[in-house]
Amino acid sequence: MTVKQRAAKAAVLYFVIHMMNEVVCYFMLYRIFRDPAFITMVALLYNCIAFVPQFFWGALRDLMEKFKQGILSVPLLLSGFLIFFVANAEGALFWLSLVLLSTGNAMIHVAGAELTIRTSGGKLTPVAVFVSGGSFGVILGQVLASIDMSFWWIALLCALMMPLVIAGEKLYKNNPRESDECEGFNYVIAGRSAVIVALAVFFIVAVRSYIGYGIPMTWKKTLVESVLFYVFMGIGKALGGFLSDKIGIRKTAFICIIGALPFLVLGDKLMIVSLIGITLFSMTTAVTLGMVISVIKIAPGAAFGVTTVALFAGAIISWFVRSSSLTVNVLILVITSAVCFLLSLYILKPEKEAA
Amino acid sequence: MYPFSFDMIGPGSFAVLGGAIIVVLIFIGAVAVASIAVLVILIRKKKQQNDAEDLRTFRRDPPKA
Repeated sequence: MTVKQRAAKAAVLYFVIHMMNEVVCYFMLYRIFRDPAFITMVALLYNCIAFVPQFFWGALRDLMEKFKQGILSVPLLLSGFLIFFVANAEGALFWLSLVLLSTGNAMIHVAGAELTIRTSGGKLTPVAVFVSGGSFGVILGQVLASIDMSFWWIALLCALMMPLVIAGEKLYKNNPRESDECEGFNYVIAGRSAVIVALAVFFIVAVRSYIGYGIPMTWKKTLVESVLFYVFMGIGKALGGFLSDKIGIRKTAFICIIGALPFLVLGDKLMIVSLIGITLFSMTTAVTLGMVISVIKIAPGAAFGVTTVALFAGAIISWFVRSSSLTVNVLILVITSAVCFLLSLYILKPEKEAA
Repeated sequence: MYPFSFDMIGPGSFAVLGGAIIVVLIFIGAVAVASIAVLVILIRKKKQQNDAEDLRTFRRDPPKA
């Protein structure tokens, strides 16, 4: 099997696994019918355990090759899911089910990142395709939770993830050494400090997460419009990786950071304009991943974890500091985008050098 | 990410949420310390591997004086 074939298989496999994982998680989350304060606690705990420890799980997988997180994640997800639905969990049992579900979610993300990065030969498309699967899963899980569907179907879907995860682990076999050690990831200008690049990526991702909540979208009211929002977000995430590999990461950074701005600002009431902006805006995912993996090549799992911790940080800030004023949101969008763009210019290698 | 807003909850619940946020911060700190410890071990392990590789290369093909 060639590097290209292995990378393509890993990308498709983990696109599907990631989507199934999010369907399971969001089906359960959207079947919790309690008061707003309780839901707030649930969201805080779920997001924290699902996103923050990915840095730790990633580092652990980078250290111990035999630590198969993908295989561990499915029983965790399934047990959390079944405790919630079968035992009709209340009190401590409910929180246990949530911890199991979110830990399984975190581990499946790291397993997918490790496989798609280590088999890609330095290309960003595989990891971007894997990440995009989540957007489709999030909305599908919400839609399925809103209809009168038995949870047993979703439990079956969760169990079906196991053979796919095992197939993913098998893809590691005969992976070339230079690919496994991420030697192809050279997107950062030589001499840039790894700590500064990691901090800059953390900042850019946290900003993306923060302004994601502040994007003016009064058009998004119905379920169909929400579905479109997530679909275009998923397309953007995958497209970011594809474009980075085709035209170069620096040009892609320019297109997605600066190009998205007018569409996001003018798309408050115009769905199509806003969706173009969302697609462009989501493309930054691949760019930031390319940056951080290039400076932490020995630990791609931990590198991926840097971005997920930043996503959580951005969301937390948006929960505390949020403006309902359109002008303020547009100003935040423009200023932070400009800062992110300048950071990208400082970090990313021009296409001529990368070639 | 599972969306929510603090606008959803009443002022009475903020004490409970404040406690939850402190727990979350302690959790984040613990995760950060554990992750950095794992990364330090990983860097040392890679350095030892590289040194061993260099030594093998040196023995196989010593530089000519």
